[in-house]
Amino acid sequence: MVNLVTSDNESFTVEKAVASRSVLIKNMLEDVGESDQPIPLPNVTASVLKKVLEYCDHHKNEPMPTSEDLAAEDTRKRTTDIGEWDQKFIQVDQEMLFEIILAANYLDIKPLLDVGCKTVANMIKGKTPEEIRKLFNIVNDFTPEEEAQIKKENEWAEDR
Amino acid sequence: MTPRMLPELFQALMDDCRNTLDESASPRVYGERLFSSAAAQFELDEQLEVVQRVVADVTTYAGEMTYRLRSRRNQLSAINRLPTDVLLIIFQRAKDLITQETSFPRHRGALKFSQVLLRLSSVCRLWRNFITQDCPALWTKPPMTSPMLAMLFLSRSKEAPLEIAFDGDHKLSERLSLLRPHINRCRSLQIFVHDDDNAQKVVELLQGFPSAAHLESLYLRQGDFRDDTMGRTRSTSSLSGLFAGATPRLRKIHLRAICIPLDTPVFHGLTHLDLSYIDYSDGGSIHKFFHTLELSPFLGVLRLIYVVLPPFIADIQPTPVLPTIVLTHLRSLFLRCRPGDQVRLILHQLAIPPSCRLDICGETGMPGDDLYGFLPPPSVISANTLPLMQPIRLLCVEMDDDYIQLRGCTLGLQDQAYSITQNGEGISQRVLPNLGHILPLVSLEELDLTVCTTEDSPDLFLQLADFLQRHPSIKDIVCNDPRVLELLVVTPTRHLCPLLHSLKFCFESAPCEAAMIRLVDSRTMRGDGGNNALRHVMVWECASLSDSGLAALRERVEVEVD
Repeated sequence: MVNLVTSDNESFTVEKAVASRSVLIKNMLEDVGESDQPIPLPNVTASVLKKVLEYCDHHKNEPMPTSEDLAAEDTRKRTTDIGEWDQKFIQVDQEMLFEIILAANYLDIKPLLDVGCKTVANMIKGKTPEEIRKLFNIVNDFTPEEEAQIKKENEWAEDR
Repeated sequence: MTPRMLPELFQALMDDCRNTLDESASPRVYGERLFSSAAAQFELDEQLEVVQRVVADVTTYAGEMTYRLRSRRNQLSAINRLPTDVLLIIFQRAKDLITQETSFPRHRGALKFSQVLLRLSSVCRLWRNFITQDCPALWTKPPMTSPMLAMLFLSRSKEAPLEIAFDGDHKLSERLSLLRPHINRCRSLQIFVHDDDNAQKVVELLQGFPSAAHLESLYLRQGDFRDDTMGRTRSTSSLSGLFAGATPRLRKIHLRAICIPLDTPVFHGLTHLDLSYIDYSDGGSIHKFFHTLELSPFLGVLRLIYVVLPPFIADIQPTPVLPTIVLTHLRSLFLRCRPGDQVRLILHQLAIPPSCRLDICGETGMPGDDLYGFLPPPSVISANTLPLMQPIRLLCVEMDDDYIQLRGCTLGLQDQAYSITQNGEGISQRVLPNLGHILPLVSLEELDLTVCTTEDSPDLFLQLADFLQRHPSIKDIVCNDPRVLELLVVTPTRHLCPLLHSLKFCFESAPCEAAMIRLVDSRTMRGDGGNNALRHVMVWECASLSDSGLAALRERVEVEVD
């Protein structure tokens, strides 16, 4: 078992197979060898780690992505599909979604990072800039000159 | 700012502004007699000018402050707290969503993609700066239908490798001239045209292009994807090197009805060669083609569809002996040809690994033409270890009066080692006698037989009986013709498929219940010298099978009805 300590000082004891879904933790475990020492995770809060561990537990028996898989990510093999369980798992509020993405990035859990990024991409899909701003609480900060340039570029891309 | 501070602040701004004006103004000389009202007006005008200046400066400043504060506010939104590399993944996934919507025609797909990219870069300054300045990889597929947009993409992609694809009929020269300065960083180039003139023009224009040092894939296509009736485009021998003869990384070439001479340096070091509807009668030959293959020893995929390659003309030049080309990396050979095509003899000259998948289809011209029209004699097959030597467990044979398809599989249908299709009058009767001789089938266990002959062909079934007799290892038969059942009934078990264990039969409309029952009887009775191996019968489309017939079958064997 592995003991993980979050930024808000909460402890989680999990199976090694679950914790090792994180490449960061896996490497740490390999570096320190057999040890009872808790592993500090200063960039992850308890509420987020709980969610991340739920994902890791569900996928603990799946093969880790190989270097070929990761290479394929850069080519056309990439898919935008999200598995059924993952879809339900990632149905969280926006704040938590971004926290999960940040945690997956920090902990180096590529499949989870991918699920998070695909979810955000799906949220963006088909929306106008104004709708995207509204969705992510962003305001228009372009100067009139920049607006004019943007308008011109968008006109070039109009479907003819 | 409180309203009480405003007059004071404004006065300070005006004083500052006036000082600046006084310093820059030229000295004014008034006449001896000053007109007090005019002087006062002048003074007021000066003040007004100062006020306008101050207002303009304050407005500009306020505007800048507003945009700056908005930008600062945007930086604090949850999505913008993500690291830029994660933001890039999100944008790439958003791009993938469009790329995977393949229902768009090519040019509209590219346009849709650019719309998404421009939309994302119109959200806020942070996104815009990031997307337009720090993500050249997002701009590598310029939509060539819009020159302005294409130029924008080409500029924002900086030095990133380009993937170019466009329909070339409209403004072909303009688009290619736009691309020309960037060809050095082009990784893949796909051009689609719809008529001969443009096909020729594409090749001519590319001939004037400089070297394409990073080009990995060249895809030039004329005609519609589904148009298989089109004629073959003739080669133009006057053309020499494309891309100044320098394409050191080119690995994949796909040409459809667009001809590039075979001695062009692009045909060098390839892993994937796909030629279709090309007539190399002028300047090309089967020898030149083999030489091309020799220059690509790592070739993995070779597809030749209706390619004309004439033999060497003996009276011009002595015919050299065709070499055997060793292609140890070939994974797939796809061949479509018409009667008389030299390319049908390609297998006679190739040494390829047994794991290579063969897909051959051709029309037979003359009587007597059969599998040997494509396949070399058995001695050559052995020497070359063709895929035909793989242990075939399942053979699917589909035939009608003028068509036969053979599919050999090492395990199930997914593990297909070869597919050979031939068209021509009476072809099935010509191929069946060779089956098993030219294609060794010593491990054959399952035969899937679909017969759709309209004529009564007793010879065909005699040949089939001969084939079955030569392959006693067959354990499973799938078939749809009652005449196959009759064959199995009338021939003693020990002579025909003695190990037959399972029979799957599609009844369709043929009344063959009696034959089926007789067959099951003969294959399950003791004392006939056979080993009575038939255990399982599966029938489908069984409307013509009566309940009593089904019951009779079930007394003898396990019966599955679908």
